[in-house]
Amino acid sequence: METLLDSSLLFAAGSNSALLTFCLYTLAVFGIAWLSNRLLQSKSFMSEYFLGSRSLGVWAFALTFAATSSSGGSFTGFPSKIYTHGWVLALWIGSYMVVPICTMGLLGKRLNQVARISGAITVPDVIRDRFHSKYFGLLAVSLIVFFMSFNLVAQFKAGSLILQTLLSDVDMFHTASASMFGSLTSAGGMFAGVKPGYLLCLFTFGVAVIIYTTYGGFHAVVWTDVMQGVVMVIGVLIMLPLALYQVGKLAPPDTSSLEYTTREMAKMTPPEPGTATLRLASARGEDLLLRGDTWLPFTGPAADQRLLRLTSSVMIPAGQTEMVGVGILELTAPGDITRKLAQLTPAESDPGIAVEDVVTTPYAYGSAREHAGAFVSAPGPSASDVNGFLPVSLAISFFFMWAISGSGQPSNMVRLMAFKDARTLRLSIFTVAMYYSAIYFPLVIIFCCARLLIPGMEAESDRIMPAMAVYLSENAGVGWLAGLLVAAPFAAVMSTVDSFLLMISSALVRDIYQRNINPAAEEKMIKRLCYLFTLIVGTAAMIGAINPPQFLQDIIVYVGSGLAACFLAPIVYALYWPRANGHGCIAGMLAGFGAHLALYFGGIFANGSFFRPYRIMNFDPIIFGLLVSFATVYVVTKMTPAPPAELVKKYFGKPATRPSMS
Amino acid sequence: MSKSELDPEFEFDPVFLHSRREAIVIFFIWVTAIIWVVPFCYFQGYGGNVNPESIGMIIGIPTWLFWGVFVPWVVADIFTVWFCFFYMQDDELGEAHEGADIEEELAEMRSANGRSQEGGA
Repeated sequence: METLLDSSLLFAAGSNSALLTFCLYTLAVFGIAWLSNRLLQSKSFMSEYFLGSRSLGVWAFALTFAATSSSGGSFTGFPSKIYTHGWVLALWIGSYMVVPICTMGLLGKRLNQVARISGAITVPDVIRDRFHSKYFGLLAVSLIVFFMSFNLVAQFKAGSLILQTLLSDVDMFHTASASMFGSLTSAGGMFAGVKPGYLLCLFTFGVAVIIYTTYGGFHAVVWTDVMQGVVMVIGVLIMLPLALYQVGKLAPPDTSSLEYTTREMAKMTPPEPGTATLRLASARGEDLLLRGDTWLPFTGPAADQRLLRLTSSVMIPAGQTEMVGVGILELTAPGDITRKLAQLTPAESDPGIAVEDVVTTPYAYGSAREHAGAFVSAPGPSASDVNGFLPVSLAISFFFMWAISGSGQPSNMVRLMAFKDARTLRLSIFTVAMYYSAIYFPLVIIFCCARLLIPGMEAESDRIMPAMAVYLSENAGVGWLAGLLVAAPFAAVMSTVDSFLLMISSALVRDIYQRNINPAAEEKMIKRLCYLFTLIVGTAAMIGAINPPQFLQDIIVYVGSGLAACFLAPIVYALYWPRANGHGCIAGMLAGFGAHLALYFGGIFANGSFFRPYRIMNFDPIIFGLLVSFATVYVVTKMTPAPPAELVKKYFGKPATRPSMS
Repeated sequence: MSKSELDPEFEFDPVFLHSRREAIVIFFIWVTAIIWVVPFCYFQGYGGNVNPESIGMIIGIPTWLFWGVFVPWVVADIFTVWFCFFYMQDDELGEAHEGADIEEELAEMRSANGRSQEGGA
């Protein structure tokens, strides 16, 4: 049991560890960038800068693939979802059992070989060379720049928000952000309305990523991914036994920790968000600040059964005795209330504030009696959707989204062009499969345990990862561990941002400048442009993230599935069907783009918003987009002339029968 | 394009044939996974199929998830081991022809320029 003061100190201590970890981390990635830059001096510059000279070994390839795929969301959004919706997240993430073998094995070996045959460095390069079509290459690069630019801005924002969340209890952070950016944000212009803390995180995170990516290129990105991947898996593997150990302290002697967790979760009902009036016994001479994690035992008629907490900080000005319409969250499960009351000290149990006029809204799915056991069954509780969190159509869609759509992401394809040999690929598939198994199912268990250990975090569920890391490490008597554990989200988001940044700059330098404007450009010129464009693209994305467009999170979802709808079918046919031609694949790329976009536009008419797409039979638009794209390539190819025999021999013939390379 | 449409000497690259065969096997594994996981969870874990009063568990995991996700996950891992160590071929991917595409384009540009100059003359 800790007092409110104790737990605040505890969180602050953990966050100081987070700050220290972030600083050490940044130093380490700069060191890696310096080492990588030395490699750039001795090899073919562009191939080294954008593709690591196709020399990645097992660990580098496996961990860069795993870390890039597990975006920042894996270590903030996913734990938050498990905490909020319960065991059903095991089904939500279930397709990860085949994600490594699908995303690496379906295309990997063949894509790597085709890229070697032509000397392709980027995905548009592969497409352009395979079909000998300048216009197809330009179409591919346009789509990548279009989609990735939005995504890069969104990832910069995500990274800054994660950093801000993790540092929110560090006093030095608040002081620094207020003194450095306070006047800027109050001055208006593009900074108007932006929180100083967000700006500090954006610039710190952004500058670090831009510098190490620009200076070190692909190898810097890969080696930082390796370091980040190791941190992520160690973090999870340490948290799992600690979480079970802590739950074990609450469980009866003859019941295992996990069994007790599941049994208690079966009794849980979702807490209800709402508003209330706070009333002080008498006016104060100074402002009263109530932190966002203040608990308010309800002093009404059923005092021993109701427990509320604030959802954000509240200031009651001097001289006032009441605040109306304060955001609250009310626990509804008796077990949660009992556990939380047992954690509160007498002072916390009676903060001297009366709570009145409580109005709460039950969950659309999960609060009703017929939905009992929502946290241990599907579709899981949902605050807003009457069909629950994961209707079965969505469960099917996720099998397409993670495993199939993941294969169609150009950022994954680039990595598939960078491994050293076939042996590296097969050992890496195995490594990533073990890696995901060690991360994802344990994460579900850890954050199911969190429901028992830290009740009421729905009010700030994005903070559940750092909160749990601090709780576990402090309770185990190893506070320093919190720093390592909260480093995992930094790691995840950094490894995603750096690879996206390099993709856009490679599209501009290689696909647009070298291949369309100046093929005869000297290496010295190319080298300068690589550095310059990576710097410019990164800086532009960072500026874009200062005041990002609305619906950014929705844009990420749209971009991820949109890229797969455009690229997967043309690449699959290009690699595996000798008859495939440019006409068919261009048509398939445009048809996938159009079909997917049409369903999003359909959302404006059907659901009132572009970002609530029209879902045919309640399936995600990615399924329709992929079907249309695959069918279109096949039909148009059959209707148009076969590709030149020379091209087929070059990419499908035995090495001895291939036409000689120019 | 079938082999007969190309010249009689033409032979498909074994790397292409192996990769295609491996991709087909992987696709069937994905199909097997979705056919096992989704219907099983739908019939055992959705709606009123789980009784919160006496929830079935195996090693603390709800029974529907144990058989619907945990076991197939372990099976998928075992399959991955088989695939990676006993099925997938260590094909020779060949030397990377760095800059070959740029060289080819430059050669085409030179020849196009040559033709236009000849035409002009």
